Amino acid sequence: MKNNKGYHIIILFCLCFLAVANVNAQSDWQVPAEENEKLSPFLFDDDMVLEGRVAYENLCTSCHGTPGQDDFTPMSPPPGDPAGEQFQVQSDGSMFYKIKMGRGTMPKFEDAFEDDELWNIVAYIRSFNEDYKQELPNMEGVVIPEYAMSLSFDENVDKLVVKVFAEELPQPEVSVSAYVMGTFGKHLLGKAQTNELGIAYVDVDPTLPGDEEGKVNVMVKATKEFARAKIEKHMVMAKPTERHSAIEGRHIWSTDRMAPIWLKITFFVSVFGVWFALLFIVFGLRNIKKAREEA
Amino acid sequence: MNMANKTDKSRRRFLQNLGIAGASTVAGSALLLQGCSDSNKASGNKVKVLTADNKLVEVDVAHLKPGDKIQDLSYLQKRGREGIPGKKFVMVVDLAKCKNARKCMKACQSAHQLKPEMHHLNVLEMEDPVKKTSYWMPKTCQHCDNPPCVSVCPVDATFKRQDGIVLIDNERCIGCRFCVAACPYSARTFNWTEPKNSDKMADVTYDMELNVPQKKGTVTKCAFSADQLRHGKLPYCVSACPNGVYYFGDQNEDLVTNGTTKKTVRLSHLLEENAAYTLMPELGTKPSVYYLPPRESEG
Amino acid sequence: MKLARRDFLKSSAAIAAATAVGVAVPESLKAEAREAESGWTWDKAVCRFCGTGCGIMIATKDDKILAVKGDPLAPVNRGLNCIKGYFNAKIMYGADRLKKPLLRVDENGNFSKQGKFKAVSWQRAFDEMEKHMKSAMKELGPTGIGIFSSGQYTIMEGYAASKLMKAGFRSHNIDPNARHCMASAVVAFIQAFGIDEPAGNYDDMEITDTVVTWGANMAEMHPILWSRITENKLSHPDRTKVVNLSTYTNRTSDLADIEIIFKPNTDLAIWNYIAHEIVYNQPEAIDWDFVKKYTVFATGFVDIGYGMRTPDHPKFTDKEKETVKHEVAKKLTADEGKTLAYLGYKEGDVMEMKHRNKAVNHWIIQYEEFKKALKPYDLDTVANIAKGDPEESIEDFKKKLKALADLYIEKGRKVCSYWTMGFNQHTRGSWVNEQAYMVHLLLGKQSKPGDGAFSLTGQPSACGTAREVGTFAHRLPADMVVANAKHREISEKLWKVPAGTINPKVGSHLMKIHRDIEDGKIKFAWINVCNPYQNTANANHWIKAARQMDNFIVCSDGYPGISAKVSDLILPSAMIYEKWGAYGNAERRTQHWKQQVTPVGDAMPDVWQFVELAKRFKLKEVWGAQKVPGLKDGLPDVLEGAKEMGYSPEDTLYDVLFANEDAKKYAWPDPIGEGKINTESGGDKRKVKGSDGKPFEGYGFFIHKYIWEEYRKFGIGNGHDLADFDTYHHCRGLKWPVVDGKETLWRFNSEYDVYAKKADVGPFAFYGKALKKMPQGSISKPDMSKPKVDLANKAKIFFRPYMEAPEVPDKEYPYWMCTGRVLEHWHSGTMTMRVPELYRAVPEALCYIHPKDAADQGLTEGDLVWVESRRGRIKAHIETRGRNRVPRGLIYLPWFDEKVFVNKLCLDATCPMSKETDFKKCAVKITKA
Repeated sequence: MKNNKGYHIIILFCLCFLAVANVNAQSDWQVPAEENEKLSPFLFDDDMVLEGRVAYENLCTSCHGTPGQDDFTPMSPPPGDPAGEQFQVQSDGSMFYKIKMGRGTMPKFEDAFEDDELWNIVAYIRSFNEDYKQELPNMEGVVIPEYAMSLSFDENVDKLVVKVFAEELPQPEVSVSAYVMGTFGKHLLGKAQTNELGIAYVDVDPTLPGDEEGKVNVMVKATKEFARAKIEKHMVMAKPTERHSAIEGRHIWSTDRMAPIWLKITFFVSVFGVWFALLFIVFGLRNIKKAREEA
Repeated sequence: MNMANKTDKSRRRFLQNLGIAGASTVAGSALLLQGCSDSNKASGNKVKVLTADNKLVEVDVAHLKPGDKIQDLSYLQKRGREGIPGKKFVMVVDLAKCKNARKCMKACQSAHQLKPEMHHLNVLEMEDPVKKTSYWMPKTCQHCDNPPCVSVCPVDATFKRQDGIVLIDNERCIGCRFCVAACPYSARTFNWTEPKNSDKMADVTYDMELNVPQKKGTVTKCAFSADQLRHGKLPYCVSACPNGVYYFGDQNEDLVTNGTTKKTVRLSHLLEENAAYTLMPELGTKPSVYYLPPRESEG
Repeated sequence: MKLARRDFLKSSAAIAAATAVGVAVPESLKAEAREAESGWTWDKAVCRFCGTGCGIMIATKDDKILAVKGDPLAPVNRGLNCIKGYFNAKIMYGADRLKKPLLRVDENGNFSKQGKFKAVSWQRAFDEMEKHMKSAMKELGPTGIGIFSSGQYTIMEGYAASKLMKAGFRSHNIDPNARHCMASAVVAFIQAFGIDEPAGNYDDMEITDTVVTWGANMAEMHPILWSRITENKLSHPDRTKVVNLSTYTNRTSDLADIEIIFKPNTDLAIWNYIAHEIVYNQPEAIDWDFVKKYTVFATGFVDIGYGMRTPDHPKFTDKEKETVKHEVAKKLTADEGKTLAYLGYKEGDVMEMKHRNKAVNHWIIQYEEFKKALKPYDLDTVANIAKGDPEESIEDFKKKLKALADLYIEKGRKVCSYWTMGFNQHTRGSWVNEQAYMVHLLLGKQSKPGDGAFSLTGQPSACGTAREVGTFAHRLPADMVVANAKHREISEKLWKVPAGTINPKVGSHLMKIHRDIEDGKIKFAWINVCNPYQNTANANHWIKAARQMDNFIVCSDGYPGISAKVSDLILPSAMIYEKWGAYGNAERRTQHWKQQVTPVGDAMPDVWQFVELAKRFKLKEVWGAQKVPGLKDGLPDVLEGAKEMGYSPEDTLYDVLFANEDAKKYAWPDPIGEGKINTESGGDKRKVKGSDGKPFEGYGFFIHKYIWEEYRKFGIGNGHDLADFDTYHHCRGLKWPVVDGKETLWRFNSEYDVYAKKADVGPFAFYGKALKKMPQGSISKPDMSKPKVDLANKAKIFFRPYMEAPEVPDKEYPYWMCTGRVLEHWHSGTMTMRVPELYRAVPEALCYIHPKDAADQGLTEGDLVWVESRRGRIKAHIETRGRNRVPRGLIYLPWFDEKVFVNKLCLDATCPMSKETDFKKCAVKITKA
């Protein structure tokens, strides 16, 4: 009895400790000072909120639940509700950093998303906070160029050639990221910076399979400070591959649709043949019996 | 004379019998058809609905059809058999990351309306025979390229389709359970009792890609969430995992996407760099599920 | 006594080897060997491979070649052969030897560029050739066709091709692979001496005191000559000095007293340093008597580009444009700022290439200006510019340069300089060749026994066929040129064709033929005895053009190399000892051989192929008036002139060029050919169904002798004299000019050269006639107001500055890539890779890289890497400890291996004067594959 009581106290103590520990989960995640100060170069408009919502529902709901519903998964430490106080009190930069870099069970989304996509998620989370006012970086005198992009493939050296222009002028030092669009997600081919001619080269693995003509869906994003652009193109860039059905060829096991005609005919002919032979013998015997009886 | 009469008589009788048989067949089938044709007979239950022009009306439940769900059974059957052309789905499971969170199982059970003792997907505790350490291994249907279950089905209820997924058509399944015995991975399970929510889901048209509602007396198993794939979404288990265990993708594109981080990587590189393996390769089943070995640091 | 196979081989080989080195052999062994070899017929022949031109003996029995050995009576090699030479027999019997003509056809048997190769008859092959040639000529005139000719043609083949193309089809789009090999040397010879080919001969190697190899790995590439030099060195270890200058350590360095590793392109600076040392520090070494009497000083333009196309050409990718932009303008580096200061340039200036089309122009300058221009090339400056091994100390390098200069300068020391591709395959190849002559002429060490600059030839007959016969886009036989009206007249007379037949406009050189095919300006090309789709830089362009555009490419070869695979029609060709032929080697020695065996399968000799093609064209189809792009009035109609000469417009080119009266005078059989087959003249036992569908029984006359005797006429009396046909079959070759039956050992030297003696101007006479009336000028430009100077019997000492290569390593592409060969394989490997022993010795081309460079990239010996340039990428295994030990920052790749297709990476920049591609310098990067 005494022992039991001792155990109860210990368990109670542990629980309290855990509770306290859990509460401090968000607040004791330190973010470097300069990251904390970071501001989104993009205005959190409805487009961003929508994109962020799509990303959030695909990725974050499983742990964080729906914002505002407090239905996050009980984990240790608990993920928390993004619409709640713990989250909204942080700076934009802090949220951006935490999503990007992750920690422990919180995955690191740096590789899955570009910076502007991460800001989309921050925008969505902020959309649940009515009191939130977005602090924008100093945009005075900043002219945001509108980029025009073109894509081609240099097959001599297996490189994707990305040209970034704004009003016919080549744009140097623009960061470009090139992706191949797969069924379920986009595969990062590589990142590069445009040179002084506004051209960036991204290495393409020559073993990448394309469709029968060697075409793939390529998407390239370009960002530099406040400017961003995107281009998609269905282009020849990969190895032409024949798509074979997983059930190509003859299959012995499939009982009806796949069985070849000759097999079906032979089968039925032999079955009926055997039945016919049997019946013939039986009737023959019967006739003999009858004939004998009559005789 | 007697013989002739006898033969005459027997021929006549034969023809008579033929005629009766024919007539009864026609009559019977007519009755049967009639029984089948009127599916729109009112069930008697009425329900209030709001029309497009803001009028409140009462309609018989039987006359209602869900808006975005396809109700044509033969269409669904055909679609389910054909599969998605040009794709070959594979799954990669990273055993180094599995921490037995069982979120995948929860999502699967919920999506397929499964009772707790029936699993399409099971997370098993395995032991490394040499190091004597344990790790968690999620096991789905392996969607083999040489499936033993398909070979043994006597009624062609389970089949492999062009996108590599092995499905069960429970409209055909007779519940003989040969396939359950044939599967070396114990991936299949049998509905011994009335499935969960069978009464609520009674009027949902059977879609073999989702297999909801389950049918008592039939076999069920993991289908790589074929219904989700049709919309370009990842399977339920893959999306639900919080630890980044599952990768899923199209082998023809050589790309697989991770369910947690959504990062898309080259399948061939992932398998080669991590020394991927399949379960029981010596059986020659050629599974479509690859496992990345558990590593001590993350085990 | 009966001999077991091994005993027989041992005794036979031993006897031969012993004889070669002069060891006495006991009679009993000799008898053994004799018995083993009974039934064999030995005959003399020439090695198929390099420009050394070794003599070999071939044994045949039952119409098959059984054995090869070095010819003890051949003065070149005295019974020795190198590893390739010993397999001269095996090269003909490889497993995939082409035996039947192959045409790309679709399922219906019609020609289709996407079709697969199927065997067809010779008649069908010629039908297709005729059809496509005529359609190309109809659309584009004579410039619409091209021939990739070769420095490995026999002299007869080269002559037949040249005559057919220039006199028959009136086209000069015939250029040999020697363009990639010796063109720079040729330009330098013509510019400096007025006549082609070296002055000295191989005997210099035994006589000289100093051997300096510049960019030539003689140990692997001219092994027999190297053995002669080795003998000299080992017999006089203290007196004889050997210096090896190269961009990487190779096997030649093993014998060298001094090894100088220099940065690519800085050979230009090193020569000028030597000249600087002479002129400024040891001017007493200048042989003023010689210089004043026999030489003048000259220079030319520097802003001549790099032989590339301009960046606006539509077929360039963006990546390529990064380099090609230098063709119009280049920013000068610090080093160039120093060396081009004499023209007023400085570092950072943008040099515009204004004189791209005037690259060959040169003029006479005075000694003072020559001396002033050499000022920047002192030891410190040059050492800093030229040091190639980053791990070598600058002091050591300076000591070596000084020692080299001293060896040249030392009074009474005989010096021979040897070079091959390192100098010639160079964007300033003509310049650096001229610089070699500059130093030798300044010191008076030229055209004397043991003294002289000797340009080594790579191919077995680049001299004998390509250069002497003139199978070039701008040449005619015997050093005559297309652009000179008088030369055309002489040729027309000797070829017995009407005046005005020969096209006055120079044709497309080899690089340009490829470029023209890509531009759609040439739609028919015929490849003979070479592999242009493997041997030309920037291969991705040319292969795409051949496969994807509307054209018809024919390849005559013995084996299916890359060119055959890219072509539309493949013709099986007889290989070297399956036909009568002759080669001319690097020391001007012309050597003949007789046909030893019947060709394999249905293969036919190239002479037969040209002659049969000639049968398909009537005079009226080719000698009418024609439009030629770039030629204002086009080509005139010469049918009237033809009629006057007794030809009819219905005569075929065969009747006029090959089966004319003169030809028929040479009967076959001929006593010189007794016991020997002659496929072209008398047919052979196969009775191959020829171009008319009937079994070929021979032309009935001795076509080779006819060709030889007609060709001889071009050279008699103008310094290119050759002996008559029969003479060459009685001796081991003769060095031309052969005057009164005597060969010439040292040209331009009155004691040895009949023509120099005849000129009667003293102990020397540089009697070459080309480019001997030159304008005068200042160091920077010619002064056309001053009268031209007559330079009869004089040579030119050129001043040429140091300039950088158009593509140098940078951050993205950090390595120099140098290409070359290995001892065991010849050129593109079509022959040697089919010999199992040679293949086993070196089965693949390796990428030689410095071990520290490899380690820095996480690579180890044997790793598979991507080697990538701006033009393409290939995979290769790396080698960090092989026969070539490269310095840091440079890699070396041999090009004999089809699977390691190096020319996808190389830059098609050429010397703007010679149009020879620089295969030795481009920038690449290495990544793990």
